Formats: sequence, C-alpha cells, structure tokens
Amino acid sequence: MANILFSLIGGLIAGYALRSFSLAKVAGRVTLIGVMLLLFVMGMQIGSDATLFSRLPIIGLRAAALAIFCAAGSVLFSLPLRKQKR
Amino acid sequence: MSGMLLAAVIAGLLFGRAFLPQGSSLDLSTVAYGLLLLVLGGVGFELGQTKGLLSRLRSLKWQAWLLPLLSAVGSLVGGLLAGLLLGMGVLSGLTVAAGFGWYSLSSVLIAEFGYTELAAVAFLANVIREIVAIVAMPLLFKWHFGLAAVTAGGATTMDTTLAVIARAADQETTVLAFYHGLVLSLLVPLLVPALVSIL
Repeated sequence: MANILFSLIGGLIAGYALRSFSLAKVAGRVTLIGVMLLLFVMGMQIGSDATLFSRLPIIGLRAAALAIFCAAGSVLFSLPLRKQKR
Repeated sequence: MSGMLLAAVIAGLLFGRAFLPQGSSLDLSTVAYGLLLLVLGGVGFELGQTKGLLSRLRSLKWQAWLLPLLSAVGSLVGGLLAGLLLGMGVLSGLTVAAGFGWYSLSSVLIAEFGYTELAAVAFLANVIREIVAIVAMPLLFKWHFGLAAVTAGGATTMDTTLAVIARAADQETTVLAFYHGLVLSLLVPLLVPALVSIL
C-alpha cells in the first residue's frame, strides 16, 4: 500500500523536477509497455490456476455484467451535471 | 488500444494455461506488483510533466467538482445491483465496483487478502469497463450526454481514456475528465482495501 503511493508520488515529483526536459512521451511509452506486460502477467496468473481457468466462463460473465452496471451507474448518476462546465 | 489490451490478456491466459505449472502464481504476483509500481511511477511522471495542471484545475466551475462524487456513487450502486443480481453478494459487487476501471491496482489489492477468484473478476471487470468506455464514450458525446459521458471511464479518464475524450469532446470537458479520473484513482486504494477487509 505504502509502496503504491510512494511510486505514484515519486514519479510525480521526478516528472515535475525534470519538467524542462519534456520526457512525458518517453514516460508514456514506458507506461504503455508496462501496462501490456502487466496485463499479460495477470492473464498468466489466471491461466496457470486450473480452478480459475475452468471457471473462466462464469468469471468472465460476472465481470462483463459488473463492468456494464458500473459504467451505466456512473453515467446515470452524473446526468444532472451533464451541462456544467465553466 | 482496447484491442491491444484484450490481446495481452488473452495471450497471457493461453500462455499460462499451456506452459506454466500449477502453483507458480505466487511468483507471478510479485512480478505483477513490480510492474504495477513501474506503471504507477510512469503515470506520476507524466502528471508531473503536464504543464499548467494546477491552473487548469483551478478554473473549474464549482458544480463540476461534484462530478467524481456522483460518478463514484453511481458505480458503487451499479456494482451493488450487479452483485445482487449475479448472486455473488453485495459486498463483492461493491468491491469490484470500487476499482473504477483501474484493473491492475484493484485486483492486486484484492488478491493481497487471498480472494483469488474475486481478484480475477475484478481484473476482468475493470479491463472490460475500460474497453466499454472507449467504445461508448464517442457515442455518448454524440448523444449529448456531455459531462456524464466522461464518467463511463471511471478512474481511467485521467490517462488511458483521456485520449478518447480529447478527440471526442472540447477542452473544458477534457480538463474535467482528467480531474474526474484523478479523484476516482485516489479513491481506489482507500475504498478497495476497506471493502475487502469487511468481506
């Protein structure tokens, strides 16, 4: 937990300190590669667990339903603010 | 973008199924955690490099500050309902919902408490939420959902789906989307462990 905040805030401070070098594109690329690797590893975690893998249809179905309900919930609850900007 | 995300997940699933012996997932969770820290460092770095971030946030209208709040409550209500309908329990639904689309962080946090299957559900649900958002957002903007369209993306509106928003909406909306994603992202490491601990 502490590591997570440390990493995020550490990155923020480093990015701000080095702002005159405009390395955001490089950081963006590193982040994208990291995300792809992370997704691959997390997929492997499920794939290497026989119990989880055999339950993938039900896990996937639940996940899809949750995703749609959460996204729809956010949109519906935010409708009163749809025209507020600045 | 969403195609690449999905391809990485499926490749991992098949690779793990075909080549990895059972029980090797403990080492993998360390690898995943390390990668997560790298990704977070990168996200922080990009934020630090963004010019005029504070002044952009300061120029927002006060009602707009409520957007992440309504969005978070909406997601949680959606998760609660889905948990009920799917028969997996209200708290499990809420826990997955509190990931707000941040798949890497939420599932690692849940797995830390030993709920492997719920972590897998949270992971896939949040990946799918990001993909749903990428597909739905341009349509929602076209149908005049305005700021509400932004909230479909949850925490991802500060990074991965921000590009989609920037292309489909005006600059004010993009700035707000960033702020929305930032607040939801900060809520994830607070809400998810709190909800898992009472499961």
